[in-house]
Parts: sequence; structure tokens; C-alpha cells
Amino acid sequence: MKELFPLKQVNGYIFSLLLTVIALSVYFFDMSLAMGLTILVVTAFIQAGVQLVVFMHAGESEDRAGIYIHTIFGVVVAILTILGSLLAMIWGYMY
Amino acid sequence: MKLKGVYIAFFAIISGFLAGCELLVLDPKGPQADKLANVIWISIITMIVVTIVVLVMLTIILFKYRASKQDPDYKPPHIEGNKYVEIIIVGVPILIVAFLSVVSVISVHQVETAPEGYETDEPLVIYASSSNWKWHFSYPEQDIETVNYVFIPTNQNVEFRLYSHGTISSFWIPQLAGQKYAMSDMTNYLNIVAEEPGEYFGRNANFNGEGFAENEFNVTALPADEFDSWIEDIQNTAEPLTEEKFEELLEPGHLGHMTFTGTHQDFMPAPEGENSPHNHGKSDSEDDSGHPH
Amino acid sequence: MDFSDRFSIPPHDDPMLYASIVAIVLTSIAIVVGVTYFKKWGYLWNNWLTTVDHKRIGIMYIISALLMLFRGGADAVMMRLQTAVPDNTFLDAQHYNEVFTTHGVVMIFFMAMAFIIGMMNFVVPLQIGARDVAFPRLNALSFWLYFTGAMLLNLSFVVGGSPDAGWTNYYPMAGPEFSQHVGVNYYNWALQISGIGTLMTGINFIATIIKMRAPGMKLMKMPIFIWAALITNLMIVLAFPVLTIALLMGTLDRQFLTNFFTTSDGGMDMMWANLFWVWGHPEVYILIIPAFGIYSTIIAAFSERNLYGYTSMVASILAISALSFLVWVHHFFTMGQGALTNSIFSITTMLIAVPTGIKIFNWLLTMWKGKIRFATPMLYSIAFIPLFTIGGSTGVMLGMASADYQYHNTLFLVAHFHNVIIPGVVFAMIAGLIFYWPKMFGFMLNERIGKWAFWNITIGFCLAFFPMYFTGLNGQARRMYTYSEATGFSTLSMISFIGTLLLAVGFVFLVYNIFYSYRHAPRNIGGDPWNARTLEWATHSPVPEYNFAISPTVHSEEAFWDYKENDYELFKGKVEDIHMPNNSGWSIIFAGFFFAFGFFFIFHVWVGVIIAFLGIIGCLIYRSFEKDDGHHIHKEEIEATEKELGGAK
Ligand code: HEM
Ligand SMILES: [Cu+2]
Repeated sequence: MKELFPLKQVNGYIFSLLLTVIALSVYFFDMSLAMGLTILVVTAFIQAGVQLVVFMHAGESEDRAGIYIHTIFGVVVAILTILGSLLAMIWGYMY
Repeated sequence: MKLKGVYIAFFAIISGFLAGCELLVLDPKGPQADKLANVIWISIITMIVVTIVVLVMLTIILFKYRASKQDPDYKPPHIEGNKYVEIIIVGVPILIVAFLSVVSVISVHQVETAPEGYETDEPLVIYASSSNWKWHFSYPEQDIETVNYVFIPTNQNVEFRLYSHGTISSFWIPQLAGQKYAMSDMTNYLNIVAEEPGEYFGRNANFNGEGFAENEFNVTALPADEFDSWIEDIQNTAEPLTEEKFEELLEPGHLGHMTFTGTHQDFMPAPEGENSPHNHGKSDSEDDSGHPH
Repeated sequence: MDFSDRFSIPPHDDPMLYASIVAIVLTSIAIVVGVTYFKKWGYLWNNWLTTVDHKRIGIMYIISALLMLFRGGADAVMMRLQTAVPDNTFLDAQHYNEVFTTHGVVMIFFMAMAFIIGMMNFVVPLQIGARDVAFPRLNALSFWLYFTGAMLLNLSFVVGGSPDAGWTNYYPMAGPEFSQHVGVNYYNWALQISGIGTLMTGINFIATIIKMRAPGMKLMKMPIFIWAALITNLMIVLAFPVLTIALLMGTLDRQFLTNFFTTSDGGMDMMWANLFWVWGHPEVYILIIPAFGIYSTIIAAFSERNLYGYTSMVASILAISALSFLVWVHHFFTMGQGALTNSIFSITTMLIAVPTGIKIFNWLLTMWKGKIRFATPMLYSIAFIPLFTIGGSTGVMLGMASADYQYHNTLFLVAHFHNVIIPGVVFAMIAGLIFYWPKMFGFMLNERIGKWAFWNITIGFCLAFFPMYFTGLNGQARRMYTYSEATGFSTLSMISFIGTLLLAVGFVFLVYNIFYSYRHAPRNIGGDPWNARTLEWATHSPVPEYNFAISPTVHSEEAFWDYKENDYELFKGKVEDIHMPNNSGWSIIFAGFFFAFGFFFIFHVWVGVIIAFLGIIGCLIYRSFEKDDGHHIHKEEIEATEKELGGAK
């Protein structure tokens, strides 16, 4: 019975619901923009991680190293792209 | 060998052209363009050295190891690589790039600020704004406006404030300074000094539609006293620029040279400071933008 | 707002336009009549249009790429003819703008991309010892979506007007305020649809290379071209979504009046430039990395040596791919973001020269102590080395942010990127095509005609593009449809035009060579006509449907050389039934709906859009419930084929 019950998935599901509720709270409570954005960004990243690992089985095949390396590379590129875009479109003009 | 002759001819032609040096960019008439010409020469020379090294290596290898020159039984060896060779082929490019990076960083800082020797001058401010396919020059202090030509005093730091009434264009006077974009939602700043009186060619370098090829303007640099009398002349003779007239000027098309008193900054201020839709830039620190009268 | 108010058909009373339309219609009729007359519809449908075989899909990509090369080449000749003499009136400004825009779009998206993807399609499964790619049906769909995009863009020329805002398509010039005909809609939809195809190719090839390598082929034992292909496809997957989103935003701006890139209501024209180049710079490396792979393969083969510094070659590909995501701002150093930002991106840009330099030295060292044969593929590879060094050097010059203020938007820049793309990408693809031609079709291309083509193309290239460095430094902006005598550009422009003609002659030789060799070249050339080193040469020429009768077992990145020289056993075991995917017309029908969708969207015909969309959904639903288990090629059949082709290897 224990093998049949997808404990990990159910936990993951509950956890991702929880993350959604936290993210939603930004809308219902009055908080500063910075605070709200921080909550959204943090929960979004955790949420993506949960989805990837629990529901898309990222860590379950033998080439998980490759999958994680590529994912991390993608995330790093995305972050650097955003920082660079900010430099090129906003920060660069504030002298 | 035939190949060598080709190379020699090739470099002879290149150096011939460069030495001839009628090329506008390499014939600077102000400190900013002068800086850039130096940077360009440094990089050209570095790169010619690199290219020659590669060419020589290639020629020698092709000459020595072509099959027709070798024993038919010759079996090329299996070579994996060599630590020392690899250190050299990584190290040398890194050194070259490091050198050029230093040159690049220093020079980009220099051309982005007022030229050396002119830092303390109060700059002459001229708004240069583009519309399809014209350039409008407003002199807020002198209260005049010209179309498709601009007069500047020599040996004086001129601060061009660039923006656009529509498409992105690129303000370029090759003999005086490098390009900078003029865009509709913000103002860019370009410092220019002309050290020799004369006529210079200027244009929009960024493609912006049907009339792009003719999107040029003239720059005339005059000694300060002649410049002042030119200003006076215009203040006395030119027609005033009205809002309707300016709207008319903005219609797509080409206009010749035109001259007005008053500037369009009065009724259609540049997108800077509080008039900028995104409000970044030299916001509150320097608020003569829009030039309140 | 009504469609007819928003977009007009540009007035074109140009005899040349009508002549081209007539030519297109006549050619199409001739093709249809020809195919019907020779009763080839069945053959065409069964063997090509519905195929899921990676080799045939690869060949279809390459044929399309060659067609597009001629389309784009015709544009190029027209442009250089217009600018050959000052104040020329052969083309007017509007027409010139459409021609250079189409030229850029066709060459980058529909020629170069198709060529590298075609080459990867043909080579990758063979070189890793697989029977096909991971998702053959998806692969066919990728091709047909690409083809749909290409046809849409070419249609613009006849129906409604071509895009005219440059291949970079900067807003607000390309937005609804300043571009009031459907040209840019075509741009958006043609690139959007073919971009989806490209993205699927990326996913498909990553899966193929990760999952389907022959036993024994560890990552560091993959042939260098496979490394190049793997990294290229990873880059496609990371970069193309940015283009997808940017195009979507552009479409919304133009067709639904949103304000992402407009001049009013908070729109930001910088945003397009930024997004475009966030995709655009990785894109140029997506083109060059497979080309590097081809050169590595060819140079090793014709020097009869192993590739020098395999590990550092792999490392430099990885370094290039990582760096290429960090440099895009160098395409708009002049936007005003100030010294600090430009310094950062100037340094990252020039850093790319380091791994590129390593590769150049490794190629030189591969030839060192080799036994160099000057076959045509090798000639292109040899010419590539110095020419690409010059192109890379001018790249570094452009990367010096301050100096770029003087080069930007001039013919100096145009000379740079043609200098890297033609000797870099185009030469590689021609060399690869000649190299793999026997593998594709079972006969070799004539060497003598091939060399004529080579010399014409190389000399033509130098004459056409080197003068532009000088006119650029002399203040000639790019994309000007004409210039006056007084500028002093005339002599060099004329030289450039002559070079263009030589290039064109070279390409005609290339095609003539195909016809000539088809008629005269001997067949039965064996599996390995070039004395090459990698796995694809271990099977027959042309390659049978199932690639290898027995899956090979591999010991190093030069498996076939090991087999020939060091007596390793490649094919262990015996022939068994082989499971293969079925052909299917689904992909072409699916792409047909996409064509209709794009076309109707361009013209705001909402009924058509809805019907086509339902078609697309219908196809997806059909596919979800389709039962297709493929088929088996039986042992006896394989043995018979092998015997006929000259015995199992
Ligand atoms: C050493 C390596 C390279 C460096 C440092 C380099 C640098 C640059 C820079 C700084 C620019 C922008 C210039 C400007 O707009 O003012 C540029 C433009 C360009 N480069 Fe390169 N580049 C390199 C290699 C390549 C390669 C390998 C390719 C393609 C296969 C390529 C294709 C292009 C294209 C297509 C453009 C111009 C796009 C346009 O504005 O239409 N470059 N390059
Ligand atoms: Cu780039």
C-alpha cells in the first residue's frame, strides 16, 4: 500500500497550493511594492522548482546531472539577461 | 610562392588605402573624434599583427605539409594536445584582449564626458531633434531654431541634447564625434568640440524609412565672434517659429535649410527631466529642461 | 479601427515587380505540369512530402536553403547594382528598403538557419550511430513549419507588400504609426511560425544527442560536430523564446494597438532593440557553432590527422555559448546607456575572441604534421581560416565600445558581419554539402567545376566586402539607397558590385556542378570516398533507410578511423528486425493550417483565422488519439539490401 500511495506528489501538491496562497496574499494585504515583489519572486522560484522536481520528475532519470546543469545554466542566463537589460535600459541613464 | 604574392598585394592595398587617409573617420577635427581615431588605429594595428601571424602560420603549414610534397607512405601522427601549446594559445589572446579592454574602457569614459581641457566651460546647449527625415536644432539660450543645418563656435564645448519626434535616429558628425541615438522617450547627451573652423558633414546613421538616405545636415564651425554675429543676424531677420508652423515641419518629408527665431522647446519640450515619460536621466539635478520662460 | 484604414497596399507600379510575379507564376505552373507529366506526384508524396526520415528531411531543408540563397542572392545583386554608381535610379527608396529587408530576413532565417538545421538533420543521427532523431514526426513538423514561414515571407512580395523596416525591424519605425502597410505583419508571422519549428528542432536534437548515442559514445567521445550540434540546440532553446515573445509584442502593437514599443502611453522603443538582440546575438553564434563543427570535421579528415586539442575545442564551444548570452548590448552601444554599461559589455564582447582564437590555433595545429589534400571541401576550410580571422578581428574592433560609435550603422559593420557569416557559415555549409554529397546521393561532385566555383566565390567575396570597410570609415551609412558623386564612394562601390557578380557566378557554377555530376559522375563509390574518420562513413552511400544494419559500438570520437586503422570491431552482433517510424501526411497538413492562420491573421480576416485555428486544434486532437506503432524492416529485407549495396560492413 505504501508503495502505491504517491506521498511525495500529494505533499508536493499541498506545498504548491500553500505557495499559491502566500503569493495571493500580496493582493489581499496592503504592503509595500518591494515587499510584495519579493514575496512574488521568491514563491515563484520555489514553485517552479517544486513543479520541476515533483511533477516533471527532473531528478529521477540517470542523467539528472545534465538536466540540473542545463536548468541552472538557463536560470543564470535569464537572471544575467534581466540585470543586463536593466543596465541597458534604466540604470545606465542614471548618472 | 603565388600565395605569398597575393598576401603582399593584399596588405599593400590595405595600407595604401589607410595611409591615403582621406577617410572621414580617420581625419578628425575635434578632440572626441581624435580620441576615437587613435583607438581605431591602435586596434587596426593590433589586429593586422594578429592576422599576419595567422596568415604566416597557415602559409607555412600548407606549404610544408601538403600531401603532394610528402612520402605516399607517410602516416600523420596522433597528437592529443600539449599543455604548453595550450597555455600559449589561451594566454596570448587573453593578453591582447586585456590590452584592448583597457583602451576601450578608458576611451569610452573619455568620450562620454566633456573633452579634456573643456571640462570647466559652461557648454553651449543645442537641442537636436529628428523627425522623418529632418533635423531640428534649437538654441534655447539664443532663442533661435534652424532646420537641417547647425552653426557652432570653435573651441567651445557644445552639448547636443538629442531626441526624436518619432523613429529612432542616430546623430553623427564623423569628423567631430561618434554617433548617439535620438529617441522619442528620452534625451541623450553628446559633447562636441570643433577645433578647426570649417564645414562638416553630419547625418542620421540609423535607418528610419523612406527618406533615410537624404537625412543629412550641415555643420559649420565658426570662431566665437563670427558665431555671435551670425546669431544676432538671425535674431534680427528670421521669422518666429509658431506652433502651427512647427507641426507643419514635422510632417514626413524633406525640407531644405530653414531658420526661425524662438524654439519649439517652448510649446513642445524635450523628453527630459519631468517631461520624460520614464523619468530617468538627469532628472531634478539639472532642471533647465523644457527651458521655462 | 478598420483594417483598410490601418494598412494600405503600397503602390507599386513597377514593371520589375510584375515581371517577377509573372516569373513566379510561370515557374510554379511549370513545376506542377512537370511533376504531373512525369507522373511523379505519388513519388513526391510518398517519398518526400510525408517522410519522417531525418536524411530526407535534412535534404529538403538544404534544398530550401539553396532556393532561399538564390532568392536572397538576387536581392543582393539588385542592391549592389543600385549602389554601383552614384545617384542611380534603378530602384527607388521604398523598393530598396523592401529588398534589403527581405534579403536580411531570408538569408538569416530561411537560408542560414535552414542550412545548419538541414546539415544537423542529415549528419547528427548518422554520426552518433542512431537510426533517426528522437521524435521523427516532430522533426517533419519542424521542417514544414519552417517552410510555411519561408513561403509566407516570399508571398509578401506578391500579395500586399514586403516588410521594409530592416531585418532588425526597429520600432517605432516598424510600429503602426510609421509603417502602415502589411509588410511588417508578414515579418511577424513568418518568423513566428518558422521560429516555432526551430524551437522544436532544438528540443528534438537535444533529446536525440543525449539519449540516442551508440553504445560506448561517452560525452567526451562524441565527435566534435555532435558537441557543436548539442550546444547549438541548447542555445536555440534558450534564445528563441525571447524572439517569440518580442514578435508577439510587436504583433499586439501593430494589430491590436497595444503600446509596448510605441512612442506614446508608456511604450518603450528601446525594449524592442533590447529583446531583439537578446535573441539576436546568440542567434549569430547558433549559426557559427555548427559551422565550426563542420570545419573541424573536414580539416581533420583532409589532413589525415585527429583533431588537435579535442578537449580545448569542446571547452571553447562551451565558453562561446555561455559568453554569447552576455554581450548583446554591443549592438546598441550608441543608445546612451553611458560609459559603465558599455565598458562591461565591451569586455564581455571582446572575451569571445579568446575561445574563438583557441579554435583557430587548434585548426592550424590539426593541419600541422598532417598530410593535406586540397579537395574542394578543404579549400573552403582553408580559405575560412584567414578570412574568418579578419572578420573576427573587425568584430573585436567593433567590440571596443568607444570606437563603435564611429563604426555603428556604417558599411564597416556590414563588412564585418558578412566577413564572419560568408566565410564562416556559408563556406562551411557549401563545404559540408560537397563533403556529404556522396553520402546523400551516392556520387561525387566534380572537383574541377567545384574549384572554379570556389575561386569565384572567394575572390568575389573579397572584392564585394573588403571595400565596405573603407567606405564605412569614410562615413557611408548602411541601408542608404543611393549616394552622391561628391561622397567619393563610387569607385569602391563599383568594385563591390563586380565582386557581387563574381559571387553570383560562383554560385551558378555550384549549381551547374550538381547537374553536371548527376549526369557524368560514376556511381558505386563505396561508403568512404574521402578517407574520413567518423561514424557516418561506416555505412553505405547513399545511406539505406535504417542507417546501420547493426548498431555500431564506439571507442573514441573517431570511431571509423579506429576501425580502419586500429582494427577495432565496429559492428558487433548480427542483423535483427529494425523498428522504424511510419511516414505521415499529418505534418504537412498541420503546417498548411498554420499557413492559413498566419496569412489570415496578417490581413485581419478573422473568420479565416478562426477556421484555421480550429484546423490546428483538430490536428492536435487527431494526433493525440492516433495509433501509430511504426513498422518493422525484416531481417531478410535488410540482408538483401546490404548484399545489394556491397555486403554488410
Ligand atoms: C570575435 C567575435 C566577434 C565579435 C567580437 C563581434 C562583435 C560584433 C559587434 C560589436 C557588433 C555590433 C556592431 C554595431 O552594430 O555597431 C557585431 C555585429 C554583428 N555581428 Fe559580430 N562579432 C563577432 C563574431 C561574429 C560572428 C561569428 C557572427 C556570425 C556568424 C557575427 C555576426 C554579426 C552580425 C550579423 C552583426 C550585425 C547585425 C546587424 O546590425 O544587422 N559576428 N559584431
Ligand atoms: Cu553580436
